[in-house]
Order: sequence, then C-alpha cells, then structure tokens
Amino acid sequence: MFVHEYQAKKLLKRFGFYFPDGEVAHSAGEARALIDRLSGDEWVVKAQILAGDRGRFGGIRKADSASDVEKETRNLLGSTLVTPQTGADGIKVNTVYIEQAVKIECELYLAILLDRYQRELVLLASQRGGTGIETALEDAPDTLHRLTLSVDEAPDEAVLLGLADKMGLSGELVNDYVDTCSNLHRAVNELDALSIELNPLAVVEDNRLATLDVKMEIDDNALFRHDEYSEIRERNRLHDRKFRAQSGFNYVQLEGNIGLLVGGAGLALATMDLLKLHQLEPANFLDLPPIATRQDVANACQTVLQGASVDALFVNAVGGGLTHCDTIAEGLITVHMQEKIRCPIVVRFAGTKREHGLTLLKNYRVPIEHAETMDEAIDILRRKNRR
Amino acid sequence: MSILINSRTRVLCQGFTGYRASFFAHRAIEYGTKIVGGVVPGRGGQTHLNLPVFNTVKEAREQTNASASVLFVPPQAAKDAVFEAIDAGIELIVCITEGIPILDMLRIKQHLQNTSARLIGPNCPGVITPGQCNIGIMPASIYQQGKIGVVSRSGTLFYEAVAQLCREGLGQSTCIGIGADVVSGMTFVDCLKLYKHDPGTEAVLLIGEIGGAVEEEAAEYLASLNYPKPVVAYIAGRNAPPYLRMGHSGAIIAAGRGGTDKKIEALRDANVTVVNSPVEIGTTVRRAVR
Repeated sequence: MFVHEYQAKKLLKRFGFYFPDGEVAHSAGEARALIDRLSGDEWVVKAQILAGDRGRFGGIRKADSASDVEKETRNLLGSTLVTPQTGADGIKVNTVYIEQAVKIECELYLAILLDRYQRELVLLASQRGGTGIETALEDAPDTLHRLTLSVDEAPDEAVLLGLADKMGLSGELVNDYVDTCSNLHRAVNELDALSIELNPLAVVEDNRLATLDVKMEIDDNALFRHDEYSEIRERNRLHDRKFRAQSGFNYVQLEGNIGLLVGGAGLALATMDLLKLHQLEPANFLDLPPIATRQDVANACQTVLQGASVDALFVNAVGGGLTHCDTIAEGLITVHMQEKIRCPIVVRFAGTKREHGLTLLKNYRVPIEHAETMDEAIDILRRKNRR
Repeated sequence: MSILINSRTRVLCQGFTGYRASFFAHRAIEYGTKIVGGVVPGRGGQTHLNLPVFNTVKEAREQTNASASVLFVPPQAAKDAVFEAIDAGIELIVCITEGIPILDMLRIKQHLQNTSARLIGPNCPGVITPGQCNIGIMPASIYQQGKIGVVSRSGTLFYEAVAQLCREGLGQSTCIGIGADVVSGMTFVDCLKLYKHDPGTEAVLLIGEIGGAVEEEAAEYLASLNYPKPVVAYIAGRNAPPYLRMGHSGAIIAAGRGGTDKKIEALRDANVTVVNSPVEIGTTVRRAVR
C-alpha cells in the first residue's frame, strides 16, 4: 500500500531525516490555528492524495500569512485534484499537510526501491530531482545512478561517497548525503518498504539536505510485523473508492457489461483477453483469494452484480488446488437465495468438484447455462449479448 | 524421463501437521509420491499419516535421506523454514506459502546463492511429474504422462492449459508452477535449461502474464542459442485494467518492460510460437510438435 506524504514523514522521523516543520489539518480553522506552532513566516499547503505530480496541477499552494493558509486550505479541502497519475476522475482532497516553506538551492532525487524486473533492491540517485523526474530521466538516462543493495548489509560507505561526488556535492553536504543514504537503507529494511522516494531531496538554506516530499510504498505482506500500519491502512482504505480490497479480493470496475467471476488472477486475465478477442467487454476485473470460502465468493459475486451495467454474468472456474467448483457454486447459491440474480448466468466449471458444483446449482434452481469449455461459454455470451 | 522429480524422489513436508499440509500430503501419498516424513518444531517423535515427524529439517534429512521438501508454513515462519531447508542440504524446495514479505524473499534469494539448492515458488501450486511424483497442491487427476514440459506463473490458468493439452492427447513430462510473485525462485529460464537436456521432453509450453521480466529473460535466453525443442507461449493480460499495469512503484526503472506486447514481441523474435487466444493453447502445442 502507498501511504500519504504526512504519514511517510511521520514514519521516517526516527531515522534521522531532516524535514521542514509541518502538521496535518482536516479543516481551515484547524489550519489557521496550527500556524502559531510552526516555524517560519511562509508556508506551503499540500493536498494529501495518493498520487504524484500534485505541484504542477494545483495541489501545492504557497501562503505567507495565517489567513492565507486558512484560505488555501479551504480551497483545497473537498476539491478534486486531477493529475496525470490520478486518472480522469481525479481524487478528492480530504487532508492537507502544512509545512514551513524553505529556500531551495538545488533539488536531487534519491530512492531505494524493489526493482521488480531485476528482482533486487536498488538505490537510485539523480541530480535532476523535483517534478517531472520521469521525463527528465527519459531524456537523459545516464544521469540516473544505480546501486544494487543487500537487504541487511549496510551500503558501502566508499561507494556512497562516490555517489555524493556524482551529485556535485561538497563540504558538509557530502557527509549529510552519505548519512541520508544509510538512513534510507535502514528505513526500508526496518519499515518493510517496497519503495521510499525522496523527491526532492533538496539542498536548502543553512547548507543542509532537507527531504521536501516522500513517496512510499509498504509491503502488504509484511503488515503482520508492523502494528503501526493498521491505523494508516484503515484510514486510507476509506477514501479509496476505485480499487476495493475487501475480505481479501481485488476488484476493479471496468466499462463493459459482462460481469466476471473467475477463480485465480491468471485465468481472470485470460478470460478478459478472450472476451476482448470476441468483441465482448468485461465489466470488471476480479481476483478471488487463493483459498476462497463460500462467503468470499458470495461477496465477490455481489460486488460484481452491483457494478454499473452488468447484462450477463460469466462464472469461469477450474477447480484446482485450493478452491473447488462446489465452493464457487455455494457462493452463487448464497447470493441467489438472498436476492434472485436476474441477468443470464453462464457457468463454465472444470476440474475438482465440477459435478458436485453443477448438481448444487441445479438443486437450488439457480438459472444457469453450462458451458463445457471457454469457447462454448463465449458462444453463449455472444448470443445473449446480441439480444 | 522427467526433470527435477521422479518416482524415486524422497519428499519431506515442513509444517506437516497443519490442515492443508495434511490434506495435500495425503493426496500426494495416494498418488504414489514418496513422502517420507515431516518437520514440525516441537512435534519430533510423533507420527502423522503413519510417517515420522521431526523437530528439524537436518534431523529429518539424516533419518530419511530426503532430497526435496514442500513447505506449508505460515508466511511469518517461511523465511526461517526455507533457510533451514537450504542449510540442511535439501536440493529442491517447493514453497506453497503465499504472502511472504518481499524483503524476506530477497533475503532467501541471497542465501540461495552459492548453494546448489533450487527453490520453486513461493505462492505457487508446486511441481508434478505425472504418474510418478506430485509435490504441492495441484489436482493430479487432470495431468497425463507424456512429453510436454509446462511452466506457468499462474495456478488456475495452468490447469486450464493442461486440460487443453490432454484434450489434444498430449501428456506432460514435468509441470512446474513457478508462482507469480515479484521475487521468487526458479524462473522460465531455469526450467528451459533443464528441459533442454531431458530426453523425455519433446516441447515446452510457457504460461506467462503481464508484469515483471521473466518472459523477456526467457526470450533473451532462447534467442541466444539454438534451442533444440519447440517452445510455445501464452501471455495473459493483454487487456488488464490499468491498475495492474501501473499500480506499482518503480515506473522509473520499468524501461518498457512488463507489458504484454513487448513480451510477445520478444518471444516471437526468439522463434517462440505465441498463442493468440487462451482457448487455442492445446491446439497450438499439437501443431508445434507434429
């Protein structure tokens, strides 16, 4: 999961990073009141959304008085920000972070993250920090320096000194930079982060390095060893309406009209590809948990049917290791008993407990059409779709 | 013939007495797999499914001469359990556990270096040589003995592909579910290298999907040599929703990798027959081996 800037800064505080003074506000009044507690005479009001590129699209506002802070907070809260990373609908702002403004001499980029392609932990560093880092690096890929790291062994100091040199740093800033790199490595290790990007990591007045913005992703698999994340997770989930992860299944609503209830992500992806090949449009992507219970299937089915415009439901299951066809059938029956499913249902069962699943559906009079293969299922769906 | 496992492979089960482990170990034994014992710390000396339980992998290996181990331990204990298996000299470690922290997987990968141990998974269905040995959670009844090697990242799509092969009368030599986690053990390339020398494998089917770079690596490997057997691939996810395409961090280092189009292009350039529709997997392999 991604965490907000203010949450990341709070989590990182104990690792010795320097951040400008800042606090969170949920209302304009709160924002005005907290100015007395913040140093400086100029501030930035920053919208807290889980998407980048806020600066260029009005998500970060300058203010030089308490009333100005109050005004900008009022403008931002409740508004919807649209940036290239939010999607066309944008994301509604519920929280702002108010931070002391600092004078920036230059902006660097520093990150430690999991390289999903090389499958290793890497440190990435560039002199071209700030907004538009992605395009800057596309234009000049050689300005990105890359270092492979071990998870548990601290990065080599001599290598980090060399890196500081490549960043064009000198004097006090060199040690500051080496420490920042080491602290970042320790933070990734101890927080089970998949990525922590400091961007910009800025040289500011008084000749020191300040982390002005942080983008951070936590490994969901490691939540069991971090009690501190449960509150963050609950808070952020409330506001994430597009992507639902409830009772363990992933659901993404799409534009089409064929609802999909498919066991396993791989088969779900293949089913979507097959529909598209036959000019049918999926209404959703859904990934059932590997060990799905009857209730999981029922919840997933209900979520799919509540999607905007489902004209037909395609249930595609290959009973395998952990989830068998009869469990899928029981989930369907549960939904059907509560509230009759009105749209056509095409069921394709194969593998473990196929017969039992089909018998159950028949006994409980769930009106389905059974297909032996995916091909046959597509034929039925196309016929239904034409009507 | 086969790769990795056969009828003589002696298998341990770590986390043996748990509900899932018991269920699948029982099924594997019925299939003829030589499960020779289990490991559960604190339960050494007991018997389970008529087999001995040991406190440590080391002890179990000494007593049973097992060369493979299948792990059904919870994610909290997975790193230590895999380390233990590696240190005890287990040659093939099949990790079914899902939800292992990614930094733990990086630690495991580092520990695997400089050993000859192989890891399959985690978060995978396992490995099967039909008619001989079934390690993991795969429904053995759908597999048939034959000469096609199958490697898949996905579980359910794996079963679908195998069912299609059987419909075409094509049995399998050894089928490997490598799992779809970001960091895992054996890759497509590792499997291709083993199939290359296996006289029992006539052709190889790869089932890939969007994300990561193991398909690109397979293409690079196949393009680098004159691979002696036909290779067919299906890549799922051409129409994946945007969240799956770019929901993760690290876009800066993607450098065009991970998308299905690039994977397919790279595989085609390496002389791999790429299946267009997921219902044509079986028929395409049949044409490739004729």
